[in-house]
Amino acid sequence: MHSRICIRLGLIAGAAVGLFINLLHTPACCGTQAPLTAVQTIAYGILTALVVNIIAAAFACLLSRRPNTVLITIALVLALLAGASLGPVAYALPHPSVAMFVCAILGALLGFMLCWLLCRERFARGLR
Amino acid sequence: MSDPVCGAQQPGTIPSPFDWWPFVAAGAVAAALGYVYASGVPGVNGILGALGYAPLGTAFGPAMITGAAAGAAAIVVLVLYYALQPDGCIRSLPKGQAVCFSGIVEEVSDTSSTAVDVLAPFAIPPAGIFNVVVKSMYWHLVTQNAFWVFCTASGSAMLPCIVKDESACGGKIGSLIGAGAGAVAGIVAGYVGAAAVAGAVGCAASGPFYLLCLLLVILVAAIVAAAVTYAGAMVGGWIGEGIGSIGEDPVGDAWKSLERGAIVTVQGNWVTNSDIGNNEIYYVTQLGRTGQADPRPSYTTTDADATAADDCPVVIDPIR
Repeated sequence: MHSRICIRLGLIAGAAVGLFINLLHTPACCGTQAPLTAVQTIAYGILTALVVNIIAAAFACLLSRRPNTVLITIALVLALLAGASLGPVAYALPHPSVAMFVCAILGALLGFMLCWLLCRERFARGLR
Repeated sequence: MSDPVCGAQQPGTIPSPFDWWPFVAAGAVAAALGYVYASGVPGVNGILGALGYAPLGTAFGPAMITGAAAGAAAIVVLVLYYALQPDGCIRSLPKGQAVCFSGIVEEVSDTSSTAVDVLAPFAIPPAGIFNVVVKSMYWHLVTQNAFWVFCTASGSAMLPCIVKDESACGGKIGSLIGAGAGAVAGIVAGYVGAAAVAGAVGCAASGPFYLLCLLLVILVAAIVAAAVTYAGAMVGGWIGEGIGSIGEDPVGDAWKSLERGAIVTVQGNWVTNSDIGNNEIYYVTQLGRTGQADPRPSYTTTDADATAADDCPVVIDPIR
């Protein structure tokens, strides 16, 4: 599996989590709302990443010649990783656009690391 | 010249540039959504106002319009990605060299897909690929600067030749226009749909499930906007495909009747594939069929050399 698809799926999941979770900051009109707890940000992050990455994986299956099972598995694993790890980060950042960009980069990094872990031998051959 | 070595030609991996575009796209979309969060979408604000909504004046408003804009932007970026591939449509083909060679067709592979034609007209693949066992005088076209050489089962070097789908370009341009129009309708539909869901679910601006409800509303806004934008891209792509398929396509016509064992003379743009590292013809510009070889399990360079002289205008010397 080429690392490019992992990076792209990670970036998509990260960007979605970054934007949508950051948008949950209590609007000015509703200042009495309690902020999200860390567990809630993780749960909401996973929910968001799963929804977005399932749609992204469906597109990838239609348009790519890679095996569908592998694509869907990687998309789901990345959704869990990105949602769990980036949800709290996204909520802590100051602005939706900043959160989206930072989490997109972090998601891409997660994707690269996942592919690297899955294909360590192939990466090692490439580095020789 | 000695027989080409099949498979890998040189140690290491194929040098490929950093895949920068997703990061640029993410940055650009993030910046645009930052503006949308603060000010809404110019034009769309007025449409929503005329429909009786105040996109930035309610508790959920900024989040809903930003979610809708994000969904529409995701589809526009997807269509743009395919439209801006270097395939000679909007961006020019990878810089190669015009070459001519001949040989025997070993494999014919139809890469077209009805599902993609219908569901994703912006991503129409090439019509097909055929692998040619080249005459030995053209071995340099297979091996020079290549990282990989494809061979037949009998070990003879082949050159993959890619045939363009002439309706692809129309599909891409049509999808781009359709996605642009669909994005405006999509943001409006996403906002209205999300507002309806918020009302139906009973989301109030307070209560224990307020933030979960807000998340669901944002997701609905994004998904509805993406679906409408995608529908616009599909309809635009179908119209573009129809327009693009009008006119003559001599290579496509010759390709449709091509079969294994055909003796062919091929002209086209000679490049090195950036993913696999093999040399290939991308795309074929002329395809002449000069005969049919006897059926064999696998053709060889000797078979190709035994065919009649080809009609290439000039014999191309190996490039130094």
